[in-house]
Amino acid sequence: MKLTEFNVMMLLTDGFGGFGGISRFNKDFLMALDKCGAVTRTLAFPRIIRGAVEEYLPESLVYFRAAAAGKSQYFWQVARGLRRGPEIGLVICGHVHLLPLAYMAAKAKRARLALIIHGVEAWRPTRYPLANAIAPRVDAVVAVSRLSAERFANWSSVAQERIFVLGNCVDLDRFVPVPRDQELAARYGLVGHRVIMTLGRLANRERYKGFDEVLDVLPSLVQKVPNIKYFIVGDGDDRARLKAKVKQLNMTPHVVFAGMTSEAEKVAHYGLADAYVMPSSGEGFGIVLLEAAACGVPVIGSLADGSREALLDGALGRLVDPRNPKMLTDTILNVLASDAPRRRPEAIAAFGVTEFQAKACRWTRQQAEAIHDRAAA
Amino acid sequence: MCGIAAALALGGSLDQRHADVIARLNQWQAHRGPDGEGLWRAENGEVILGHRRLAIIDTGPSGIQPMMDVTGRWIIVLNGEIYNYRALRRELEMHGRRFVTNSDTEVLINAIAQWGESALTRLRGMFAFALWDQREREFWLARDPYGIKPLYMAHTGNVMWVASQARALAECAPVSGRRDAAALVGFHVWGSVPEPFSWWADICPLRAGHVQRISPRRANLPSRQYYSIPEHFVRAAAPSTPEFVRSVLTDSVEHHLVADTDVGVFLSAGLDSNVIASLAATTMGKLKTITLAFREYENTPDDEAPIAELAAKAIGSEHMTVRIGRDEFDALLADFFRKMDQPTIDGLNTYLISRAAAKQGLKVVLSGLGGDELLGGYPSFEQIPRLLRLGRAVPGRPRIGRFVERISREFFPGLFSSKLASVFSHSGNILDAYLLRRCVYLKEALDMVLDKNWLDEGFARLDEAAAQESVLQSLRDEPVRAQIAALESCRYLSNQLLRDADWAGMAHSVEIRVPFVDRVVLEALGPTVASSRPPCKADLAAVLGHLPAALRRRRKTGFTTPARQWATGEVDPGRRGLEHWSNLVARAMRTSSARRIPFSLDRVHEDSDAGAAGPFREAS
Repeated sequence: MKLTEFNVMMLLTDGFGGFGGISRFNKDFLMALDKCGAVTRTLAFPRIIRGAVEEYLPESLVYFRAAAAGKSQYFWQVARGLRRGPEIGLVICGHVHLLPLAYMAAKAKRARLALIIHGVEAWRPTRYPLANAIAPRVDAVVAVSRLSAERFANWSSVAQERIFVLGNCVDLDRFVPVPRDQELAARYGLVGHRVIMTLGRLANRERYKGFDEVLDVLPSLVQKVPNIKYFIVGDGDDRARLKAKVKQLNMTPHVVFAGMTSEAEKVAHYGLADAYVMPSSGEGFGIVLLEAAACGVPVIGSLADGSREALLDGALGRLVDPRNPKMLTDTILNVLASDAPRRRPEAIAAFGVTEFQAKACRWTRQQAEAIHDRAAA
Repeated sequence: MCGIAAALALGGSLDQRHADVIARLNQWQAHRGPDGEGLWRAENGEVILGHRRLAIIDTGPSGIQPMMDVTGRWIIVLNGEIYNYRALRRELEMHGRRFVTNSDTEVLINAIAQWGESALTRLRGMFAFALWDQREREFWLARDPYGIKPLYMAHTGNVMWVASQARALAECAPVSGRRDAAALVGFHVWGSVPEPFSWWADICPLRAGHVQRISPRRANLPSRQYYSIPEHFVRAAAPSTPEFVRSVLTDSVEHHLVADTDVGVFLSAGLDSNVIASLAATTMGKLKTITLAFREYENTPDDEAPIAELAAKAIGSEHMTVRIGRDEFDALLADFFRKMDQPTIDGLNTYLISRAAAKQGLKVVLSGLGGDELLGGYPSFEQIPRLLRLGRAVPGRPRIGRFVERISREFFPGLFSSKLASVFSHSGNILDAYLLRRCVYLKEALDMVLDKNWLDEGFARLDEAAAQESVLQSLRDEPVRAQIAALESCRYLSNQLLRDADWAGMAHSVEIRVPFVDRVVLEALGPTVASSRPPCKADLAAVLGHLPAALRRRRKTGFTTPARQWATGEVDPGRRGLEHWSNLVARAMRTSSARRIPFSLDRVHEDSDAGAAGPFREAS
C-alpha cells in the first residue's frame, strides 16, 4: 500500500443546483469521485447554478459557488483555485466549450487533462476554434455513449483507446414503480385518460427531443385511442411554438404542458404515464429513458441517437425511427393496447449507481496511476 | 482491557436481531479482547450486553463478563482497570459486601451499589462501563475522568446502542453512516475529532468524566459531568518539590503495575518513559522494556535505540529493541487504516510499538504519555506566552494580523507557512494562540479543503460546543501555564493521544497504561502547576539519579519516525507536513469503511413495535 495525494479539478457547466441530463451526469460523477479511494479531494467550478445546492455534498468535494457568477468571476475563481489550492493531478473538463481554460489549468498544474462529452455539443466541431484546436490534445475522454465517442473521435482525431464510455446511471432505490397518484392526475386532468409522456427541456435551438414527432402523429393516435393525452413535462423557450402547433393541429384537449417539475416529484410524474415516448434525434444518452424504465413505465426511444445505447439496443424499451411516423404510431398503439402491470426490466441493473461508481472509479484510478507513472519516469 | 457492547430498549423489547447485532459488535471488537466472549440478554428483552475479554486481573473463569453481583441485582460489562480495587474491596467488605471473585469488576459493581454515583470519584483507574440495575430497571454508562477508555452511543428508533469503538457501531449497528460536519471540520482543524462529536453523525461519545443514567421510567436525562479536570489546576498554596513529584509518581506507577500477567514498559530516549521504567523496575524487580526503532535511522542521531538500551541497562530491565523496516511497514499500512477508529493524524507509532509488544507476548505495557501536559514539557508552554506577549506589544494587532494573513494567503501562498502568516492574527488570546500551536489547518485556509456547506455547519456546531465547554472558566485568574496545562489535558491529551493509545494498542490486544494520566496524580500535581515553583521536567531528571549522560544531553525532538515518509513514498513529506498527511487519513477513512448494516432503520421501528423477528435486509 502506498499513499499519494491525488486531487482532481473539475470545470463544469452545471451540476449541483442544476437540472437536466448534463447536470445529473456531473453530479453522479462527482459523487463517484468521492467514493474513489484514489481521490483525495475534488475542486469543482460550476459555470451555472440554477437552484439551491444540495445540503450534503460529498465530503471530499469543494464546490466553488462563487464561480457561477459570470464569465469573469469564473475565470478569477479558477485562477484562485490554481494559486491557493492543492497540487492537482487531473483536470476534468465537463464541457467542450470550457476546454481552453481547462487546458491552461492542466498546464499550470502539470496535470492530466480529461474531457467529458455528453451529446450533440461534441458531435461536431464547436464554434470556438480554440476549443477545437485543443480537443485533440486531451489525455483522456469520458463519453456518455459509444455514439458520442465515435462522432467526437471523427472530428477531433482523438484515438478511440483514449475514450472511455461511461453511460449515465439511475438511482434504482429512488426511481421505483409507483401507483398512479390520483391527486396529481386530477391536477393535470389526466384521470380516466391514457397518458403518453415526454420529459425534457423545450429548447428552441435544439428541437431534437422529439416533441414535434409525437405531436405530428397525435391526431392519428386520437382516432384509435380517443382518451389519449400527451403529457409534456419540462419548460423552455420553445413552449410557445409547441403550444401554437398544438392549437393548429386542433389537439389542445389532448395535450398537457406540465411545466418544470421538481426532482422530488419526478417519480410521481412518471407514475402517471402509460408510456414514455421520446423519438429524439440528438440525445447523447437520454437519462430520462432510464428513469422511466426504472419506474416500470414502458419506454419508446429512438434508434437514431444515443438513446439506443441507453435502452441497451431494445432490452429496456422499444426503439423507433423518429423519421418514420407510421412506426412511431404503431409502437405507441401497441404499448397502449397492453394492460400488463408495471414492471421494471431486469437489465436496468447495469445502469445502477453502484456500477456507475465502480466504473468511474476504475477510470479515475487509471488516471492517477498514469500521473504517478509519469512522475516516476 | 476489553471491548464492550450493549443495546437498550427505550420502549418495546429487543429480539434476536438485536442480539445478533451485539454478537456482531463482539466479533468486530474481538481484537480488543481475544481471551473470551460473553453475551447476556435480559429475560424481558430490555437490555443486551456483550463483552470481549482481555484477561489481566483474575484471569480465570471467575472474571468472565458480563458479570453479575452476588445479589443478582446488577450486571456489568467493563472495559478498563480499577487500580485501587483491593483497597476499595477491603472498605466495601467492612460495609458487609460479599465477593465471590478476585476481579476488579466485582469491586466496581459493589462500589456503585454501595455509594451510587459518588463511587466514581473513588475509583482510580481507566474505565468505561455499561451497568444494568435489574431492580430499578436503570441503565448506567460512565467513563473515567480523562476518558482513557472510550465509549460510544447511537440512538436508532427506540434502541440505544453502545460500543467501545465508534467505528464498530458505524459498521455493525443499524445507523445511517452519515458524516458529522463538526467532526469533519474538527478533524481538519485539530488533527483528531474533538469531543463531543464523532466521525459519524448518528454516533456520539459519552464524554470523559461523565455518567449517564437512563431508565425507561424516567425521562431521558442528559449525561452528568462527575469530574472536571481544569478545576484541579486552580492554584494551591504549597509549591511543588522534586521529592513531592517523585513520591506522587512512585505511588502512581505502583498502582499501575497491578496485574496478574507480565507488565512491560514502552521505553524511548525520552525522559518520561525512562522515569516510568525506572520506578517500575524499583517496584517490580524484573521488568521488560521495549523500544521501537527504524532501520532507516540506524547509526543516525534520530535513532532512539542506543540511548534506550543504555537506560535499560542502567535499570537492569530485560530489554528488547524492535527494528522495523520499510517492507514490513508497507504490509501493515492497510491494517493500520482498517483499525483506525476515527481519523487521526497520530497513532502510527503507538500502533507499531504495540505490535512489537504483542509479539513479545506482552498484554500490558506502561507508557510515559501525559507527562508533558502536567510537567510543562510541550513547546506550547513557552510558545504561547511568547505569542501573547507579542500580541500585547504590537499596537493595532488585530487589523494588522488580518491584513498580513489575507495578503499572504491570497497572493503569496507557499511563500511562508500559513501558521507563520497567522502569528499576528492569533496572538490576541490564549485560545487563539493554542489553536495556532495545535492546528493542522486554520479556518481561513479550509475554503480550499472542505465545501462551504460542511464548513458553515461544522464551525457553527464547534463554536456552540466550545461555548458550552468551560476548560478555562475556572482558571481565569490563574497563570498562563495552568491554562495551557488544562487545555493540553482536556483537548490534545483526551481527544488525540489517549484515544489513539486505545485503538492503536487494542489493535494488537495490548493494554496501554498511563501512570501520568491519573486522577490522584492530577489532584496532587495539578494545583502546583500554577504555583511559584511548578513541577517540571527537571524534577523527572532528579528522579533518575543515574540518568545516562546521552539521555540528559538529548534535546527534546518529539518522536520522529520515517513512517509517514514511508507511507507517502515522498522524499520529504515534512515539506507539506501534517496537512498532507491529514488529507491522506481523511481519504482512507472515507473510503475504507466496510459497513455491514444488518437491517434498515425503518424496520427497527416497525419490528420492535410488533416484536416480530423478520428477516434482515442486507443493505448494499
